Amino acid sequence: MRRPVFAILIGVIVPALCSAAGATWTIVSVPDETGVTGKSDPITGIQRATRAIALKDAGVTIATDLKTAIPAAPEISLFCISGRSIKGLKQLGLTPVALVERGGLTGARLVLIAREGVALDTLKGKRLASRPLSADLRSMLELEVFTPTGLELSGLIHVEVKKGIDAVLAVKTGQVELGLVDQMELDQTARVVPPVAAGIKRLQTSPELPFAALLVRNAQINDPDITRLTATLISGEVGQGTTDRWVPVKPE
Amino acid sequence: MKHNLEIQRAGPEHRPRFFIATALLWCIFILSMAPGMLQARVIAVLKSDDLAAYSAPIESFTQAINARVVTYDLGGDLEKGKQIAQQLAQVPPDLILALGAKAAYSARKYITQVPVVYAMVLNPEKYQLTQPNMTGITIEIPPETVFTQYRMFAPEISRVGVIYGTATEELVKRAEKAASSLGILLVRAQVADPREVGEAFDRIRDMIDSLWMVPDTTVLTEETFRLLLQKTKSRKIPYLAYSDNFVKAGAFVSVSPDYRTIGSQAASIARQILDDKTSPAAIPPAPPIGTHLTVNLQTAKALDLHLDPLVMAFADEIIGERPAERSTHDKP
Repeated sequence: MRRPVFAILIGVIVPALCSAAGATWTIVSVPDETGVTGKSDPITGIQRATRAIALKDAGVTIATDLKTAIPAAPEISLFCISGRSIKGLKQLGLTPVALVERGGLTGARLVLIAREGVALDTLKGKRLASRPLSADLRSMLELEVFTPTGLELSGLIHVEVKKGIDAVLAVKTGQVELGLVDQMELDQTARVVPPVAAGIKRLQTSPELPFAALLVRNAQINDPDITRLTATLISGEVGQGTTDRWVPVKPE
Repeated sequence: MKHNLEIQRAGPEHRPRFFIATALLWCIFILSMAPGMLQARVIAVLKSDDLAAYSAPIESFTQAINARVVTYDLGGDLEKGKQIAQQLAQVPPDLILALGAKAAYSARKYITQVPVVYAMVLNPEKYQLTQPNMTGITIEIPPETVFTQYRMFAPEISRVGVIYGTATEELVKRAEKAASSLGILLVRAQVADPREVGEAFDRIRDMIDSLWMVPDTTVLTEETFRLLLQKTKSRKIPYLAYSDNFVKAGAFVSVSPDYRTIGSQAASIARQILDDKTSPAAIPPAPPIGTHLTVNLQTAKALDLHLDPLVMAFADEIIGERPAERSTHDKP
């Protein structure tokens, strides 16, 4: 829900910073492709279309498919990516160096939900409401979320919704049998309107999908550069309102 | 086994000829089957008019369905609808998606053998879209969904007033039950004429902390909307609407169907019919799943409402924030 702002933040501030510092690296931003984030940001209310324009205007390359983008641009050494599994990115030769932290969290999790009292074996081939899911995310979810429950994502009828709350309410009112929603959205709904969450059962939770991560290729950027970069990101107008801090990722 | 015996009897010198003949027969068989096997499904989309509102559901439907989608535009003309529907009855597609009342009505009248999924039809019961080959998505969002979303933006509301006529009597009864499940009391005031609206509001004004607008022409005219807007603002209570146009005109918040999700939902119904072979008659018409939330920040300020920044993330459209915050409803 908050990560799009980080994409803007990266898109607008980082190029300026890079230019000022005489740095030569370029940033590829992959905004909001997982469907985990909200359409508008809580602080700025900036819409998806505006974000894309801002990123393009700032000269940031926006890639929708990292698997293609990374090999195609060997000169790019710094990446800002939202909503991805870090594990998957390591396989692409990228090393995570910093994660955005907000409210004590560095990422979102998706929760598979159904109505209380519904038997799992009756849910095969039924309807699932969720925000759009990229191919990569689908693969991850199939393994980490659906297989443990005995369900197959590929066998479900997928209804794409714009917001997680639509999926929650569709499950609640029986319009669909399953929902896949951002844990924060679900918690938020439960906090504001407790009766809605009361009849909802959480079947499985995904691994953490980082809000936004800075990643480097071949460790071409050293630690002081990253520290300076993240400090500047936080001190910006948007950063102040959206980021508590950038947390260094400890090497394994 | 019989073939093997014949081969053995015919001897090794005849085997190549036998295999060639068999392969040829298989080729002929496969080619004869190919048109049916390889031909992509065809889905005809009938849209009532050339309106921007229909673009989003057509786009999301086309993305979600594995079929060749051909769109026909009635141009608001029922006679043209008749011609297109009759043409489709002659060369039937696998399924028809009818968007809008005129398209749905034309499909109902002239097409009986092809499954039809309708959407974006106000009062579908009025057009008797109940043939066994038809199912669809109604336009009315479940009241439970509507009140939940109102509650998110105005958590304090607990006594919601509603002024309604006979046309929305059933809706109000259903809403009363849904509101009750959320701990909200619906305070009703029925009118028979728009001229009674002002007096009806005054009758319930001390019992309510918000006013819910229903799509009822007995109640709602431009004049009565302005009157109720002024009355709710002067009492500092939120006016809860069903369309973003009213929010742009000063109401606090609206919950309306999201057109793009309607396309995705229609595709899921089409898959049930085409892939799972479920009869349209066995799929009851369903309310829309996706919602479009519009909030007027200027109105919120005027009403002294504090909006939770995290809840604001659920808003699709924010009125009165900054010039760049334009609507994406028509251009999802």
